[in-house]
Amino acid sequence: MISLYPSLILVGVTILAVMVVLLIQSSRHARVNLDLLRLNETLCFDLPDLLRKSWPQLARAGFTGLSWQLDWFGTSLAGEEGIIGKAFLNRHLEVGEIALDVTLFHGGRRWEQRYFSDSLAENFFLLLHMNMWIKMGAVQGAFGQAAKLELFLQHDMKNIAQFIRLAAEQLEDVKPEHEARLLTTLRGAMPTVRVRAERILGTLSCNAAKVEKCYCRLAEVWQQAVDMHGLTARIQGDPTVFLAEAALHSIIDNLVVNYVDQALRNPETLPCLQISLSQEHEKVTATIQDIQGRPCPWPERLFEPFWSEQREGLGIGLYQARQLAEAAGGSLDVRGTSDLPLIFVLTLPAAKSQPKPTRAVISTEGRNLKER
Amino acid sequence: MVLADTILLVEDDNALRLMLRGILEMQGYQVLEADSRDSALDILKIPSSVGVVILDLGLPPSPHTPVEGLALISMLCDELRSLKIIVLTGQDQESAAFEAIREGAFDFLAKPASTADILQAVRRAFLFYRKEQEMAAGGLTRLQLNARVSDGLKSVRDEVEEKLVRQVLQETGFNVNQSAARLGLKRESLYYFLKKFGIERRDD
Repeated sequence: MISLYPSLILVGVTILAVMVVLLIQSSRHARVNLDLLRLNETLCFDLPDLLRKSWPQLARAGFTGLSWQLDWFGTSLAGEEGIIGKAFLNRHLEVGEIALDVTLFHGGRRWEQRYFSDSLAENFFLLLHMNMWIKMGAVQGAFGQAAKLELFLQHDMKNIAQFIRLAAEQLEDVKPEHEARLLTTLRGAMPTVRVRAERILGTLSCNAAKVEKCYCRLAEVWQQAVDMHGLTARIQGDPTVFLAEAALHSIIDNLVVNYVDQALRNPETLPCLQISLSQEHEKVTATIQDIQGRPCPWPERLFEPFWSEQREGLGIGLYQARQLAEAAGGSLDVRGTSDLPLIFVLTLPAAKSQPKPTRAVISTEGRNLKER
Repeated sequence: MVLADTILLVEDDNALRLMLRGILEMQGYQVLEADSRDSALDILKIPSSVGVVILDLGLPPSPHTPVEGLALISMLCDELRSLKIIVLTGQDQESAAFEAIREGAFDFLAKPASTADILQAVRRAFLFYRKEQEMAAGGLTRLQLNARVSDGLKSVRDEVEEKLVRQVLQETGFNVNQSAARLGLKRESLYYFLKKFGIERRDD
């Protein structure tokens, strides 16, 4: 029995050493997990930022590399950190208009290290997935608000329509003995109707939606939009496009308003737009650049719904412009480097035959409303 | 004008309510006004001769959904079955009409409705209201039932029993003796049904 003591002591010491090692490793991974959670909170659950800034924590946990490709509301983003090796953990995550391919490289770790790496990677993937759901939830919520607004307008407008119909019918066929009563009713009701009508007018966009397609000379439309917002532009080319008036109006207006916002933020340098218009086969391409503009530090954010550099901005303009361009069979993208002003590239369906007669899109009526 | 021709107008739009009131009063109806579910229920708590309710489904606090209006129809149909409810609403016509009729509405008009359509619906509702009052006086009760055939006869029987008991209790002012006599039941049997269907006298 006594002869077994050294062996027992050796086994005991070995077990103790293994436990100490495992404890140290698990504590380290727990700390990294906690740091990732805190980082995510600090970044306000923002997916692109988390992907960009989580590498130091992951490296501390023993990962050798991180690579990711993100489709962020139609804008492609990618990043790589560390060494891209062979041993990896990959995950494809997709929620609504966000899709992410993320790969963590662990340099061929085995045994307990592999177990800890896998566990941390799963937590990291879960965090990314959660951020995607949070973002989409916020977007859906905002769209829900917009739908409520639509309902509000519908409710108010139907009440006004009902009131007008009843009033008109009464006025058409009022009996002499009821004239005074009708006048009293109208006198009592009209102030409320007026308030309602003003509220609707205040809520409604001043752009009347027209869905029919028409031929539009793009240079003329751009010139009018630029003039309307008091900007200067050099426009080259004069192709004709064929699409819905309201859509074209909205796309161009949203792009121009984006430069107007920049002008408000930097009043010392007014935007000077260079707009090149060209036609190739069935597509018309417009490239728009502010030659005096500054580089954009967050190009990937431009088309993200409800993200705005300004507090008062809705952050929906460029997203909406892209949606409209795509719905019309075109596209809206951005090109640029970190040290040059952005270039917007807008493609639209070209007019297949020569238009007769040509027409501009932004109506005088629309301009008056804008200027009011 | 007989006292029974009283209309409760439940509409949250002041202007429209005023205009409708004017039109109905010019036709000789007596009109009471409410702008929400609670104010409508408050008015109906007071014994009155309201026979017809003209109801906008979109009421505060959620004027853009039919929730409040449908809840009011459901409550009125449970408590005051003889009332005729005309829905006049701007809500999505198909789904709102289906829901309103299922809850027990008598008629449905989509905004904007013409004066003639509104008055015709009101006249028709009062005709039904008066005839049902006459039937009730003669011991006949008209029941409205939503039955799913697949649920079988038992569930239909239970619902008929409940509606009948509620209706008779309402007509007799919750007088148990009179109600039992009218239903051809013993008092104990009526108490059994009250317990079974969770019917309680509303003192308010």
